[in-house]
Amino acid sequence: MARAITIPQLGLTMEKATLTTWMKEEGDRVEKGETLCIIETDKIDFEIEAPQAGILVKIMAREGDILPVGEVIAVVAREGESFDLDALIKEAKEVKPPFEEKAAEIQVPISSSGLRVGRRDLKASPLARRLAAEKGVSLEGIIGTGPGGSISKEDVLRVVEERQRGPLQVSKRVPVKGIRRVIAERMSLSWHTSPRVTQVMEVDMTELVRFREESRSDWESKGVRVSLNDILIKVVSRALIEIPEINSSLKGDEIEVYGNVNMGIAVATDRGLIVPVLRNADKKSLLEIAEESNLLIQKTREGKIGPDDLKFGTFTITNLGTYGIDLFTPIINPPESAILGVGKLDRKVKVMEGDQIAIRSTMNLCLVFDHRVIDGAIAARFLSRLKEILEIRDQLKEVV
Amino acid sequence: MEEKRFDLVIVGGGPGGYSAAIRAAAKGLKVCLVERENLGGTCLNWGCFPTKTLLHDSRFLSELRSSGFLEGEVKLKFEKVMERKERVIQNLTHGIETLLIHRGVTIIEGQGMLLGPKRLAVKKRDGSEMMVSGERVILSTGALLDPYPFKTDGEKVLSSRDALRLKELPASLAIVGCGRRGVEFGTIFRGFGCEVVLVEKEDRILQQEDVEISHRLRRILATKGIKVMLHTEAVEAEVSDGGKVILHLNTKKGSEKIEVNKVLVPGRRFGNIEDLGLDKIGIAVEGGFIRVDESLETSVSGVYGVGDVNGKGFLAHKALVEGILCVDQFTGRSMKIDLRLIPRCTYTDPEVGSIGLTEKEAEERGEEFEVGKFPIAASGRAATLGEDQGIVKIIFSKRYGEILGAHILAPQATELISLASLAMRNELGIEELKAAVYAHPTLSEAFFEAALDVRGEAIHFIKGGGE
Repeated sequence: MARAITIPQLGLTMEKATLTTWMKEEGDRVEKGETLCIIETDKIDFEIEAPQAGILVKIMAREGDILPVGEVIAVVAREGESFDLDALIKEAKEVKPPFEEKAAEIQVPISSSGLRVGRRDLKASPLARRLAAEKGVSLEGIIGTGPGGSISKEDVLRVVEERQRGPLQVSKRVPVKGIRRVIAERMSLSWHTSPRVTQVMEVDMTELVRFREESRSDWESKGVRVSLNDILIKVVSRALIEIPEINSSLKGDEIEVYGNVNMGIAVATDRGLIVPVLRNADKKSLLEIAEESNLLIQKTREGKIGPDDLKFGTFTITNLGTYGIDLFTPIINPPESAILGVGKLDRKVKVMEGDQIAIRSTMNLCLVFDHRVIDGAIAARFLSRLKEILEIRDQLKEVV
Repeated sequence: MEEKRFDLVIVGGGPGGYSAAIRAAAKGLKVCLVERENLGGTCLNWGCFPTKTLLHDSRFLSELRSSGFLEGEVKLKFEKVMERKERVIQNLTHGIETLLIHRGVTIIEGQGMLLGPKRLAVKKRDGSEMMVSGERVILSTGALLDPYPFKTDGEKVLSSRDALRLKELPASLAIVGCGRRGVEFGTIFRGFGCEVVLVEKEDRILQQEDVEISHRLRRILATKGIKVMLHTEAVEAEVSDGGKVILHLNTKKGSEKIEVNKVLVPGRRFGNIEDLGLDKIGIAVEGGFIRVDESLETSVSGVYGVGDVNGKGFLAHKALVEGILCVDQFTGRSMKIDLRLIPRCTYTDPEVGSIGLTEKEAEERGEEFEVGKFPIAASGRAATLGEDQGIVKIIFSKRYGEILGAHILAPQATELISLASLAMRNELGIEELKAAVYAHPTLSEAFFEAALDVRGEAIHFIKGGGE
């Protein structure tokens, strides 16, 4: 039977939810209990599971949509089954999801994909199940010492006790869901699929710092605050257009090389790392970039970013310099092929031409790239080009 | 001297010993079982089986005699009863022997004595001696009875073994102590028509049982004509000139005497550990029993104590399960024995079966619990059997509905209690008891009704409606 998927009522006061992520696409085969999508309210993230096995035949809401409780967002049906969509929607709206029941489900602290505590395929005594649910312990991973290896009350209590008194003092348990889950999955994917190489280059930033000081009043008169990062976005975008192999993705048997630069900007938020994308950075002026990136970062920090702002990145810049980090090797944001880690702006004693000693502003640039797509020499050329633009006043002026 | 080597040597062929032998042989070990008397131990020869055989005949006779639809006098041929008992025992011990031989267990008839942790001398029945050695040794020699402060003479003052050897039914019998065996013997002899007096120095019979069960059973015994004297200590048995026994008693009111044909003293148990050579190899003994740890190992590595001899309870099924689990740890992972989950059975009429905590123990442990009850008087199946006495009482934890204890005074209570044992071992609680379907009409429906009773929802019984 075809089943309409609706936004569940998760609390007495809940009226609407934001659909944050689709975990499945239209036409995907789904198993009963598999997560279809993640919705978010002001209180919680919640995974909507497939009520039955079948095909996700229709998706009726987009990521970022704010939807009222009871709204039909998708249909799961058996393969080849025909159904009357209007009738399904009508029917679904008539049946209000019972609030109490769902609320009870949520009070149970659970692992990532819902009510694992009650999973049937784990052998556990009824008492052990009740106890685990109450204590918020997942039965998964517990070694059963009851009859036939079944998990018994004592096994659960042992785990509860270990949790309280063991060598690891767990102060709280944060379910991996929502953004955290997306980060976890994407980082694992990246780590396990792309063979990375890291190249580091120290750049003399003295000229750039001077340039920024000189231009500041001019920029401010136009009402724009230009950060070092904005200048980097502009400079990196130019280098990417010049050396487009870096601005690419491995898609199946092909490498897509992009003619425009959509720059991902890594932003730390309370909810986790989010990378909004500044589109067509190569075609924008420094001031446009500064304005747009300020807006993007602000929206991201306030949690107002839409899913469209997170898509179609071709390259990412991540800057930990403001945290005092000298050097680090970020993880590539798939399907991109490279990422630039930016260290802190430092002052160092340098040996200059003619064996002169001078105090200079310096910064480390760290390029991590996918060696399936990019070879070391090209990457080195890219970094050298960045260095060149950043260090030589004329070059810099020409670019920005 | 002849010497044989084995993987496992077991001393004592009772339920603990023979179950260990069969299990070990089934797992491919080379096993030797040393038995000085008869296979089957106390259970088959002097305990469970002879008494249950007698109980059956006794009950049959009393039912015939009390039936309202038969006419004429039913006469007892006591010697035939004893003959049948002997045949049952012989068949069963022979059966155990067949099982052991079939599994390839070497049976040596004789007295075993440890010379070292892995070596024993066996003095065989024919007087010859031999040596056996085993990688591991299980001591399952059972327990003996101590009638203290009495001395049994086999004629007037009887041990329970003596009682099973009687040629004639005594006209009257006093039994000292109302533990499990006391009330069982009382039930048997009363059923055959003997006048029975039970003497108990404590305030109730069956001390280890739930108080309610004790009191209910005492009332039932009284209706059957068994006199129960509580708060009464038997101090001396004196044979009178007329060949009777005068039993001197200390009661609450002072000294008293009763005259009976015979006195039965079930006595206390102590470990059968003489002549085993325990001190030679330094096996620790505690309170007359071999001390063992959780895995049944004695203080000497590789030597184990199974069944009555370890003093952790005197029940054949406890010994049986210990024998099996003890061997399992030699060949792989073994379940732990949870002594709280060993059912207790008393073969009276009706029977008593119990497991887990009594109501009082639950209170003492500070458990929050609720009790579901179903009186046998409300059981349709019991009515068809002409029974209306007894109760099924289940103690559930309030929070999780876990079964903390079950106490049954009912016909076939010793069968019914296994249902509770199964449930408790697998941690099934009140919801699971309610969810199962019970055949109707049966006695086991009482579990369903008792579970429902917790919320006053029993089908065949109104809470507080009386019996």
